[in-house]
Amino acid sequence: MESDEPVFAIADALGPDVMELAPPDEKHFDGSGTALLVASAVAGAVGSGVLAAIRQAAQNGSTALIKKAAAEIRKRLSGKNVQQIFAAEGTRDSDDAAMDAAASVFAAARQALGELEAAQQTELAKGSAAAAGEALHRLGLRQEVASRVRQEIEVQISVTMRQEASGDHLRPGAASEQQQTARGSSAARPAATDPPSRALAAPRWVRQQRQVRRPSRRTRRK
Amino acid sequence: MPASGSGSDPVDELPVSRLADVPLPSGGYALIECNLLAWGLVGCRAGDIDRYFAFWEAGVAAGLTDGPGLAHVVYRMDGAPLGGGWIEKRANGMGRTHLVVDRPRDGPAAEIIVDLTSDPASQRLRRILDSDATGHRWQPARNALVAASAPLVPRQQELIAVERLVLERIGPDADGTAPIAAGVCEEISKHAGKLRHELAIDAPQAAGLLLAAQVPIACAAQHPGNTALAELIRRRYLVAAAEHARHGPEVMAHLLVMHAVRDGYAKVLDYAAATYYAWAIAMRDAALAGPPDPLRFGAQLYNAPPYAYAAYLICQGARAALGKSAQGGWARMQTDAEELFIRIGDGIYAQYRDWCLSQLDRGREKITAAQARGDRREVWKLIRDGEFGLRWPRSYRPYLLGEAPAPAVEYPEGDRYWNLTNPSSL
Repeated sequence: MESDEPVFAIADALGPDVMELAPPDEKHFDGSGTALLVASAVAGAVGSGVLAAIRQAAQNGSTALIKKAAAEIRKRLSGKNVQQIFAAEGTRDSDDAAMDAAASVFAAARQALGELEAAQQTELAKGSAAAAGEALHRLGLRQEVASRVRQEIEVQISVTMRQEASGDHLRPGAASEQQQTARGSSAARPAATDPPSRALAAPRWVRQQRQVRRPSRRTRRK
Repeated sequence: MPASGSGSDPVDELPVSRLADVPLPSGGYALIECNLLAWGLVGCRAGDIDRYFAFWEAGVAAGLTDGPGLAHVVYRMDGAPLGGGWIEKRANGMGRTHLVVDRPRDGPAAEIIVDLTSDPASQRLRRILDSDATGHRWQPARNALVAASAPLVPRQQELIAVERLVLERIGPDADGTAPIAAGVCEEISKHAGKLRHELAIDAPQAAGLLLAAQVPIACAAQHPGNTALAELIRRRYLVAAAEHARHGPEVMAHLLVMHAVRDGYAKVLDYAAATYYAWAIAMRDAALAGPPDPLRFGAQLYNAPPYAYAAYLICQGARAALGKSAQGGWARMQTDAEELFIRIGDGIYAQYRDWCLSQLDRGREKITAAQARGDRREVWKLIRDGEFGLRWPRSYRPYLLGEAPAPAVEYPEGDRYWNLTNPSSL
């Protein structure tokens, strides 16, 4: 499994609704890269939150893991930080670097989580996912989308914990993808009462036209 | 964007630079084009697809590429400038539109002059219908052509009909106590649904009719124990809608909403806007989860814009009525609803463009190239760009990844009057 799979899965959970996090009164036509950047910020925040909580517990024996993780996540997913993503003028390289950094923090957090007791693992995974979902909802993401993201974060952490424990190769994001495929396939299945139909693919005239035109261009060059 | 952008693909790679150069279809292909073109004409704003193609043709003429860069757009009508602005596409795929005169940044910029009198899509639809390639004269497509014939001057005929209906039923001569307003609202609602199904009105008109019928009902519902007051409120807002109907859906909705907000119904309208927005989102999501068929995807997208626009109009009117005291939530919802409306418009247009110009093949070629380079992130981005931008449903993934044949349109054999739009969409 690639380390950036959780970022892809969170970006899929955000989907086109990621634009609800953009500053109001701005006109955008952002591509899916924005969803990856926001997902990177979310994965990075959750990873940092989990790591900060575990670090504090190791230092002073604190058991308030969720409180510490939630505070860190809220701080990182502030309105200013998230809205900055929409204003940033990044390049492919800078976007890749942001994604790599987030994936690496998330992976480190997963590893650290694996060292906790099972009950604490579950509690911290759920608490961190809930804190991220709440922070995104406060920033304007509809409740249902925020819940979808929360579930995906939880799945990512939980799936990885199971994987590390059992060597299972269940791919992250598979749960949400399976759900989407199921919805798509049920809609695609024709009803028993549908009339007989014909199927047409898009016309291929462009390709034919290209083949016709190319010789004339060469002729002009001569 | 200007051809200077590195790694960009020139738009004019296509063998045509004008829609008029594309050969006319026949048989089932003609029927499919009639549907897709007609939805493009009235799916969002009347004549949108004409403006999209006018922009595309002007972009090809200006050497525009789909890579990063800056473009200055000037709209002209009968030779006279009619506004414009700047379009900025950034290296990471993000983009901004600036409806300002000042240049947002330095660097080369393509100059795109768009002639708004140009109507390439309407002309093509007219040619297909006139050639009788479909073997009939499909009335909804004719309706769409009529509705789009004056894209910058909203056609108020249907709204004026509402004004007449309301004033006839509950004007000064009507019985002041009879509970007739709810019936009038229902009649307007049904009428709007029928017109929308017949492709006779665009989304702003449908949204205007929706609000004219439903704002009175929603406000009156706040007084369940007082039927006389409820009837009075329904009439009050119906008359308010009718009085402003001839000024167009935007003005009518704006004044109706301001009226209701000032009467203390802001929470009702907030709930209505959130509900309309949620319905539009649900329709978009249903389309995204649909089968790999551009016509079914387009038909599902066609149902959503009136709701997104109704939410937008409510927020706009409420912000005007409430002033600075309640900008936050309303401003956000207005931006989200407008964003959704525009995305759906892009999606409806893309169904026709991709079909007619075989653009899906180009998308797949790019993905194949990224797969060959082992660039997983680029593959993800290219596929999701299409899904998030409502260019294709998720069921296209196997095709785009080279695992399935091209999406095809399934249509009922022998049905020449086939209309996929939902008759009860409003």
